[in-house]
Amino acid sequence: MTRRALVNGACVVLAVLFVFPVYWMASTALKPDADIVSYPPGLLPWPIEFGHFARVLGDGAFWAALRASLTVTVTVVTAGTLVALMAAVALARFTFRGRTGFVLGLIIVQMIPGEALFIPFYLMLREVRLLGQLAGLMLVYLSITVPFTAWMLRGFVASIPVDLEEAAAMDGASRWQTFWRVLFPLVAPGLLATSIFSFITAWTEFTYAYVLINDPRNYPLPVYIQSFIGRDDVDYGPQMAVAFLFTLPVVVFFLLVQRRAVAGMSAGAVKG
Amino acid sequence: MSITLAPPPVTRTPVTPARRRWRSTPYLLLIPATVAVFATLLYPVGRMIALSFQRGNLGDLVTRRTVWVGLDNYRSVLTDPVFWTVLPRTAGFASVCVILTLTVATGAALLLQHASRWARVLLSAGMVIAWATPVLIGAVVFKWLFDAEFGVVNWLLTESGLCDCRHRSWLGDQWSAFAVLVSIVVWGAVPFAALSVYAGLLTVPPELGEAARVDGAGGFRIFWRITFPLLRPIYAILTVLSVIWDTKVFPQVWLTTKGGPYQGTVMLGVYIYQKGIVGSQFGVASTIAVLMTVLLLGLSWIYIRAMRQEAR
Repeated sequence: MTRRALVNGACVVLAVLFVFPVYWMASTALKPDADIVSYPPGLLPWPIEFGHFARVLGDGAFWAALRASLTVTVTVVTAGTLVALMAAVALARFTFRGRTGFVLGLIIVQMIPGEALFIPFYLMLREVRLLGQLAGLMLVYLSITVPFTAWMLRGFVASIPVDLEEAAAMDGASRWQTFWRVLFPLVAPGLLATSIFSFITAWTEFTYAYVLINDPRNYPLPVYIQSFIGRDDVDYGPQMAVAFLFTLPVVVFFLLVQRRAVAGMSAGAVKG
Repeated sequence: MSITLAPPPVTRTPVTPARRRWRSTPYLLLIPATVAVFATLLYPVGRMIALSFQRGNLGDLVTRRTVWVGLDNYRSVLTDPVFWTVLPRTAGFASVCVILTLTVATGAALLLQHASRWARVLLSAGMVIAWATPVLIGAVVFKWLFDAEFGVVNWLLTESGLCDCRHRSWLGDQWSAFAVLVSIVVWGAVPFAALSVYAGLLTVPPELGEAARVDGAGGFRIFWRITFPLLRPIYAILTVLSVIWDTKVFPQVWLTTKGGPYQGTVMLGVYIYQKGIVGSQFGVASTIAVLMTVLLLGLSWIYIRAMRQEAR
């Protein structure tokens, strides 16, 4: 065997190791119950059965959880992006007292470990009677996503030459028109990137959702998924089906932004 | 889950006279962000610090009483033997995860560099899929992979003759539960690290390695003496980020072992949860949270410095 063949072989082995858990999730979701608890386990889900998906899709609690997750995610992405864009324009296009301080503040708050903050958030939401409510979760997610997205968008806005806006202003465009016709289209790729970041954060966050949402009627999907754990019978089939449905949009988004994300890898990094 | 994007370089904006009329505009634009960040993040931090000096039990909470206890919480946490098992355990767990992550990631990055195009595409696609899998899903899937009765891992180990593991309960023993947790974290963390190192490898001029090879250096020496020093900033950032991420492993632990067996896999995040939310000792839990924050902010400080060094 040549060196190249060895290297390629190692790549294949590693690729299998990385994909196998995801494959096994999909495969389990597609097996009938009897095959899930059989020994030896079948490596291929055959015959393919959509029973678990049918069961999940027929479960009212799943749809409630999906609705909760979508409500939280859409609100956080839209509101968060808007708020961050306003802040980014202020920071990139104006000089004013306190600007440096604000930017520094944005960077510092990103460093506070979320894991340490669930006690004060829990108590605060309890006091304003938002514990167990999705609105409370949205506020918490906004505080996580806005610092990073504002800081990132500031870079995007600042990279657009100010001459373009000045030329538009010279031609008689109002400040609003300048913003909508000139700046907004140019900053759109940045908005897309930041909203994908917010989407993934709000969609996949588990810790706060678990601690702050104690009402089963308001469970978002991550909490719904964990509610399968701890039941006496092996409920892996439907759980893997929910896990699959939950992961799919994230993988799709990831494949879309992957190139861009990898390229700028070491310049700034956040993990939710 | 992680995603990273680089903002483009920042250019200075000159202030033109026309802009002066808009004095209040920046402040108005910043109001929502200020509310979102400072009211919902800085206030809780202040609250956490204040609570760490209060008794803050369930009774106090219900009657809305504030009982200041000075340093009592700090004294009781720092003299609590459980804290002194949880803290080194968390640190040890994070260290093992970080070392394994960086080692495997380096190997994967070198493979990517030397593989044929098809193998490179295959491996990077596989890694992107693992990377895209949310942390919580990684945890529930690994719990299923390691299931005692019907888990595929036990079957594979038994079939390949490595052990008779037909009913082995991985999460029932402290050390094997650790092994499962480490594998969840490393599986999820390697892709980001490997792709970062690979991106770095692409910036290393190949002539350097070739020259060393002509001089008779082997692959390992070339990596250690030439490539690694050039990639040091990337490794510095990856190390610090991994330490921070691997210290915060609440979902991974809670979704698989819940801190068991016999509290054997309780890490700082789980400990705060148990003390605070489960045990209603909000003062003590906040004290642990303050200590954890100080620890991680210290590490973040190293991160910021590493970032600045790289930018230079």
